[in-house]
Amino acid sequence: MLCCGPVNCGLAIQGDHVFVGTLDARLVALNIKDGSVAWEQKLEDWQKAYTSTGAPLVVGDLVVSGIGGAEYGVRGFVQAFKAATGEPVWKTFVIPGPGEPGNDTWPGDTWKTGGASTWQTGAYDAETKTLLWGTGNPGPWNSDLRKGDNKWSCSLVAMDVETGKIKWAFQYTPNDAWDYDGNNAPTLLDLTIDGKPRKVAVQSNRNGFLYVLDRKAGEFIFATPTIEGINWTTGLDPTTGRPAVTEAMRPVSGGAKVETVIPGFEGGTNWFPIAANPEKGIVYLNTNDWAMSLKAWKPEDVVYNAGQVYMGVDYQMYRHKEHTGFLKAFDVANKKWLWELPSALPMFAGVLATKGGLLFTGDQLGFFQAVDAQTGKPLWRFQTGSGINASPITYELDGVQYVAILSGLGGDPGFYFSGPKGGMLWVFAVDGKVADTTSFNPTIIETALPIYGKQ
Amino acid sequence: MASNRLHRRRGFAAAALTLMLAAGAMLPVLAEEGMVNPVLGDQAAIDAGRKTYRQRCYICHLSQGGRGPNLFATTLSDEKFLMTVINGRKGASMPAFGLQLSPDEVWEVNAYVRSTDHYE
Repeated sequence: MLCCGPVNCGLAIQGDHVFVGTLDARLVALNIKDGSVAWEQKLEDWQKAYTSTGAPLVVGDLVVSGIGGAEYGVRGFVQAFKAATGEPVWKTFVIPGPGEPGNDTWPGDTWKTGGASTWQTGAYDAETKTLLWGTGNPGPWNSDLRKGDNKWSCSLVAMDVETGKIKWAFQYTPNDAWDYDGNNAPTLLDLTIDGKPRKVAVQSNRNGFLYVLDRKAGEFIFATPTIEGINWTTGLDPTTGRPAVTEAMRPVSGGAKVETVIPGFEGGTNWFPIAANPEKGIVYLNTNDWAMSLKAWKPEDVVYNAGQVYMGVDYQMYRHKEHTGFLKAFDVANKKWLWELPSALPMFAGVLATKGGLLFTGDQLGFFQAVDAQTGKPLWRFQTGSGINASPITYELDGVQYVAILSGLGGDPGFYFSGPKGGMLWVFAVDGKVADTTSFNPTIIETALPIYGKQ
Repeated sequence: MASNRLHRRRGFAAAALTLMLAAGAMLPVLAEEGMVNPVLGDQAAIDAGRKTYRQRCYICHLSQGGRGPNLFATTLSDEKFLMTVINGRKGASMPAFGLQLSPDEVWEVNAYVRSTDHYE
């Protein structure tokens, strides 16, 4: 069972191996030359709805993987294996067990099925040998059935890459009731803020805020809303970053429907990576301004059954403005929003920033576009034929610079929009020309249509 | 080709019947157009179907369709509905529930979605 579509966020390559997670919760290493299986490890039991949709991360001689399934009562963890052999090295549960610090933020046995999945790839700080891994929503969604902060759900967890030991963690949304996952990996920048040089982690969150944390100790520096009208909180504590919750926006089990909560559970910024200009300290992000309703079931109706949905709420997403999606630029060092580029439909694509001052991203209308990083003005666009729900990459080959993007409806956008499903990889060269659109370069299957006399 | 297809269809129906008998299910009515939901309109089945819908289907199909199609306006035949839930849909996100839901439970869900035009 998968909450959000049969998706895969990517793979990792090191040496002779390609690493990929599978929907049935295995981590597989393939031999790069022939695709044969070099090794595989079971991450967890797929029949308990554990699944792997994220891209593994290779650090040194380790390959690291998270896990998905927070809508089904999993217990989130991050696990490392020897990249060469698949031998397990460490496994860290991001929900602390009995005797571990933070376990007392879960009543009774709720920690065992508390969610906090780790479905997106984390970031790595090579200087301090630290993994910075985001965690997802606690489960079930009914926050009053697990009173407490529910550490470390909806958090950023810093782990020693060699041992998996948690060095520090920062919780964006304690006792989350709104599915505000904190999985999107932070972008690491070195900046001067308020006259002080800081090594920061910048994270654009589903809960509607962009967070700037000191990445050495997880200290909250500041946060800023990425959309207007956030109403689940009246604001964040300026010292700790802890939100003051609007209790009227927190659904109560068996209580009335709560609406409309801003942002809706999709966020804010969902999984799609933000981009940065590390020299100027500016980040570029896609974010969405939409809303939701939530109605929490009666407590007696919320029962954990292994492998089954464990959400306990009725939910509905809503559009509530002319524009839902925005590409925005934020000057982190000067705490200033610079510009925004609206889109009628929600954005679900990553952003790529180039040193030459270009941004690349895509929208649900199918346009892959280049934008002036300084002004936010669109410079070029291309219709890819389906919604864009991936991250652009750029690379150089034989002296030519390329930009590539996957186009296709999948994941949550595939639930909200109908249209051509797509499933195409588009590659553009910086000096390239668009091919004649009436030709599609079919490749002849030689065995089916050989040249007469040569078969 | 045509006889092949017919043969396959017969085999399919026979396999489905075997599965249901093996599961100790209530006997469906075999009509020309296929199996017909034996508990259609039965209030106890509708109530049970709502519970299963909320637990298993709502996450995608929501109050009136959403991530998945609006089941309250389904145009599928009873048999096609049953088979889609049991086998899933290739090329779509609909998973196969054959190992998780019994045919009886699927009939109850079918009875529920045919009893109203939305979930509430």
